[in-house]
Amino acid sequence: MKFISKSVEQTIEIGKNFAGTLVGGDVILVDGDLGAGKTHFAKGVATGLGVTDTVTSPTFTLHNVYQGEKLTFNHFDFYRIADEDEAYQLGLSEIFYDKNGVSFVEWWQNVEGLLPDKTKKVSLKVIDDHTREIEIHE
Amino acid sequence: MSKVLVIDTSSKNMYVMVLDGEKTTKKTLVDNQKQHSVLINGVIDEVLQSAKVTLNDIDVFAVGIGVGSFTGIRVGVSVAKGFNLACRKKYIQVNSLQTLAYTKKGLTNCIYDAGKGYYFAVYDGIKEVVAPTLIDDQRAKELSESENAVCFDADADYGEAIEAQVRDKLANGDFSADLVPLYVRRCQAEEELDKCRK
Repeated sequence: MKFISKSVEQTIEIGKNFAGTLVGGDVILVDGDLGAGKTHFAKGVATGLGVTDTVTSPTFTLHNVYQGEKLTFNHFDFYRIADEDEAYQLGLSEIFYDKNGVSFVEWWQNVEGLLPDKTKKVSLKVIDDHTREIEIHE
Repeated sequence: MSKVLVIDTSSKNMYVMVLDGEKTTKKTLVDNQKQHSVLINGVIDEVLQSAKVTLNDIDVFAVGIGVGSFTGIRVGVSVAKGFNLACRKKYIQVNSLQTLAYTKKGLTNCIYDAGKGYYFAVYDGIKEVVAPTLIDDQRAKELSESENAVCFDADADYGEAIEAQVRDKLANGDFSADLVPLYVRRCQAEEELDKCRK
C-alpha cells in the first residue's frame, strides 16, 4: 500500500494509522534515505500506540524504548553496529521477541540474521522537497 | 554443612534461595522480567535476613547461567560475581535446560524457546547426555511430542527443580571456578548448510 505525504504532519498521521494495525511481537523493518521521514513516521507510530514522550532518533543510543498504552515501543537504529554479534552481545536482539512490545528497526540490514522470520516492511522515499512516498509492504 | 545462596534471573521469574543444611529459605518473584536489576539486591537481603545468614556465612554461590534472557542472566551473574570478589567462595552453575530435567525423573528431552528457534539438550538429572544446541521450530515440535520431553513454560514456577539441581550438584561436588553465561551456537552443520543455501 502506497501513501503520498506532503508534510511532516501527514507522515506522522500515516504512522499513527499504521500503528492501529500492530499487535504485540510485531517487528517493523524501515528503509529510507536521510531526510525521508523515518523518525517522523516513528513518531506517528509511537503516538498511535499511546506514547506521550518525545520520540527522538536512536542513531546514537541504538535503542530508545517508550511505554505505550498497551505495548512497549522499541525504536532501533543499527547504523552504528559493526556486526550482528555486537548487537547480540548488547542484549538488543532478544527485544525483537518480546510479545509485549513492537520493534521499529532502522538500518535492519546490519542485524539481518538476528531478526525474526516474520516481519513487516515500510519504505520511505523522497520524491521532492515537500513530497514523500511511504510504502507499507504487505 | 555448606550454606548456599541461589540466584536465578535467567527467565522472567526471579528465584533467590538460601540452602542451609536441610533448611530452605526462598523468595520467588513471578513475571518480574524488567525489574530484575532493580529488585535483586533487596530480595537477596530479605532472604538472607529471613534465613538468619549473612553473606560471609555463604560457602557456595549457585547462579543461573542460562539459557534464557541475555540481559536477565547477566543480572544474576554480575551480582554473584560482585559478591564473590569479596567472599572468594565456590560457584555452582545452574543450567535452565537442566532445570527442566529436574521436574521429573530419568532421561529428559529439554526444550526452551530461544525466540528464533529452540534450545535443546538431554539430561538425566545431573548427567548431561546431549549438550545444549539450537534447533529449528520443526525439529522442536517433533521432539516436544516425545514422551520424555519437557518444554519450558514461562508461567511455571521452577523453584523446586532449581533447588533439586543445586542440592544434587552440591552433593556431587559439581563446582565451577567461574560463572560463564551459557552461549549456545547453532551447530556447525547447520551454519554450513545455511551458507550453501545463500
